[in-house]
Amino acid sequence: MFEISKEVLLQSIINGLVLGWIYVLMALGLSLILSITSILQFAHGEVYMLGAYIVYYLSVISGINFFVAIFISVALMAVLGLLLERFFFRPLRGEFLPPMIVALGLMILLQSGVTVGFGINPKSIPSFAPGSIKILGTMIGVDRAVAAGISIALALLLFLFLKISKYGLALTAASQHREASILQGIGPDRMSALAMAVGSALAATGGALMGAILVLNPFMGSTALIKGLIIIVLGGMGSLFGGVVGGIILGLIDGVILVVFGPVAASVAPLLLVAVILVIKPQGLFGHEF
Amino acid sequence: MSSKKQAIDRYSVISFIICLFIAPLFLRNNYWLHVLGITGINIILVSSLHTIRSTGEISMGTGGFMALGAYTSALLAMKVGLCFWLTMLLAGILCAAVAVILGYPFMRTKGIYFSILTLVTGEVFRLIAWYYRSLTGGSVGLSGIPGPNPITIPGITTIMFDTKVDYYYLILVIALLSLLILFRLQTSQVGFVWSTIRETDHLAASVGINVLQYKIFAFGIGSFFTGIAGALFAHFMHLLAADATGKFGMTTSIYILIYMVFGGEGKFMGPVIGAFILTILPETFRAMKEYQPVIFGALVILIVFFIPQGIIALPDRILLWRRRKKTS
Amino acid sequence: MEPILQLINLTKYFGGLGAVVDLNLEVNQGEILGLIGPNGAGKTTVINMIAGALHPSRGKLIFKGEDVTHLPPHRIAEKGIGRIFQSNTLFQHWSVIANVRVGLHLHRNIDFLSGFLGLSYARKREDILYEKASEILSFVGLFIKKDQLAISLPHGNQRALCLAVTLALRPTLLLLDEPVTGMNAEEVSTMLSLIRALRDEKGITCIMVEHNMKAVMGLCDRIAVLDYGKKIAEGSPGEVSGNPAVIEAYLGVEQDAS
Repeated sequence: MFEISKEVLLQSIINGLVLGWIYVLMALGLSLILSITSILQFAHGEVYMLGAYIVYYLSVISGINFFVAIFISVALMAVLGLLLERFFFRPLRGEFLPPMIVALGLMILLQSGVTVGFGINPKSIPSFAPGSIKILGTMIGVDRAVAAGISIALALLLFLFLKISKYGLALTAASQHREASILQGIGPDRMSALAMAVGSALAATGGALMGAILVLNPFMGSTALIKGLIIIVLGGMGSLFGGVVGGIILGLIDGVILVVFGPVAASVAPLLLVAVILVIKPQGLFGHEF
Repeated sequence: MSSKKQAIDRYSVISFIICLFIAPLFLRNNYWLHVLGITGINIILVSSLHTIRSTGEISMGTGGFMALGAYTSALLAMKVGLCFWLTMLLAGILCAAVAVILGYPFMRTKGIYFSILTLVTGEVFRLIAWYYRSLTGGSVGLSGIPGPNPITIPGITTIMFDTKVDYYYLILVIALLSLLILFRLQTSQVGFVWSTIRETDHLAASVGINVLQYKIFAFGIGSFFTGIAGALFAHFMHLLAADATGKFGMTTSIYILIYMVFGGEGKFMGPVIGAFILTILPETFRAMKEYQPVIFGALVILIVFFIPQGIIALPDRILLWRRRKKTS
Repeated sequence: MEPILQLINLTKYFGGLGAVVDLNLEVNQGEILGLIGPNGAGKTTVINMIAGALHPSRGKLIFKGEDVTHLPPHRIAEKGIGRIFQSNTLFQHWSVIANVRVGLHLHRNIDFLSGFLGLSYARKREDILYEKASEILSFVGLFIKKDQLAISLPHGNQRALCLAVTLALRPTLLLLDEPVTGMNAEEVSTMLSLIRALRDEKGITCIMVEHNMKAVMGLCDRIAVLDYGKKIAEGSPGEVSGNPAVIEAYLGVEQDAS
């Protein structure tokens, strides 16, 4: 057992939770796409990464205002999501493996494309909100706090959208049963397109925020994808609320276990936790009964 | 299947194997022998993935289990001093044990979540290799991993494992043995039950088939051979180093999966052919190393749209196309 | 004599919705029990719970004196309870006889090693199994089509094949989920005589969920009626068809005229 000061621990927890929220955006988008299209969108991490690189290109190289750049990036990535769904996933609908392989191909293509185009060296975006503020007795970068705030706000917006708007309700129905959205007068094709657009927008936002807080590199998408998947399996598969819970759990693991027990334990902990949860409840914490 | 087709299949496989045995006589080049060695290891990996796939499940943890097998075998050889044959076997057994233990909670979930869980598992193994420096050496890794000890057949000869040719034959023999075992499993009673689970699992359960048990068995056997392949890799390369970007992790898992789909899941030899072509082909284009992944990614997408059943199904498709042309 | 199957306070909730609530029912050895009710009454849910495909939220299932409430599907099959599914659940891309061969799984008597090594003992056992499968196919009248692909069969034949597969199990209790739905009059008649023969010749007890009223009334010894997950009537066909609660439950619901 190591002597960890309370301050360091608290700092670490807050940091873990803040970064965790950005990964929650990844998880929510991925989970939404998975529930509606039944496709594991492996290129989702690259959408996140491209979201960051577009903001880098616009704000650092072209000098556009950071927040404007985010809006443009998110819009572009939502369009990319629509294109991917229309031309790569929709024609293959029905089977399990082919869309997954296409997504893998896209992932390899996009990741290596950016590597060739921008190089593997990390890039950085100047902080959009310099300085630190005090939260819960510990100092945290303003940009990190803002990023967490934006992520939480987006998550809340997503939940509101799903509960209140017509399209949102259709999405909720479609996630339980493929054709259910037809009852609302909306076909499954449009549901898939909507899920991809919303999911990709969330991913791009996450990527842009992460790129601004830390650094960008062509491999950041893979890291984020894994984190997103861990969150999904921690919180229960098929549940968006579970995604939030999973993100909090992962944030805490990265904050507490990493600092106290080291990186090996922090890597193994999520997996062990998932295995234990699944033994007790095969659907995961908040998952649906199959 | 007609007996003529069966005969053709049998002869092509046998001639292919004979070619593999006499290849080193023509290939004096150490570089290509090395590539063929890696190809052999990839063939074991892809066949173990295919075995797991027999029950309809897709494991994305191949890279991680390979790492587990590789480090286990290397550490047992270097720290405990066991001989290669024993360490390789123990590596396989450990991987199988881990798979069986994880299989119980993981395989009760819907298919795609099993894939996610195995992906996460593979990544965790990679991260352990990366972070657990005192055990694995982290990014520096383990070097000087010994090869197999000489085998003495009394009165005939002593087989030494020094040159690339020796290792080539070692991998060839182990690969053939592994493929033989996996092939027999697939074509026997067990394989038949696996295919019922893959086709219509709730019907299989309703006639008394313990679906979970059979799935875990497939996962366990597949992981055993993945571990064997990892051990072979460690002793072949004599060096193991954890990688930040995902070799031994998601990247390997993805590539092996693509080899399988490219080759074609329909027949046992499909994934083998896929691994063979896709391991060797990039080596012929070494000059464009930087652009390789870009081309590879594009290739993968094209395959799914134009040859979804894989290379192995091409002869049948060409025959079908020819037959249609004749009748039209 | 003790009933072969007892449902005691059997209940299933999906979220807040009670699909089946406190169902108490006894099935007697050798009878054909009909389970009817309007759509959504919970009939298939009951079947799924008996077959082990769903966990009851509450209640017990006693089969031949044994508590089988939480057994998984393959253990239920081992106990001797067979089922056919609502839609034509088969190995569609396999031959008819291969489908029945799967049903013989529990009686295959081939040990792993012989099978793996391909010993002649294993091959001989396989031949015997295929003979048994042929016998079952003759019983249901599908022997001529034994090498055809399941997917190429007309609907009525597919239904008969489903029956053949589960018969290979040598069940003592059969759960039939809509065995004659979608069939023409001739196919219905054939299937019904098959079910009757199962009871008369092999002593198999049957629980039949059906919408086809003529079939149910003509074949079943007793009928239980469900509505909104609760049992509203039980008795002989004559008693049930005259029951006002039953008639009201079906009022306004389009009946299957076939």
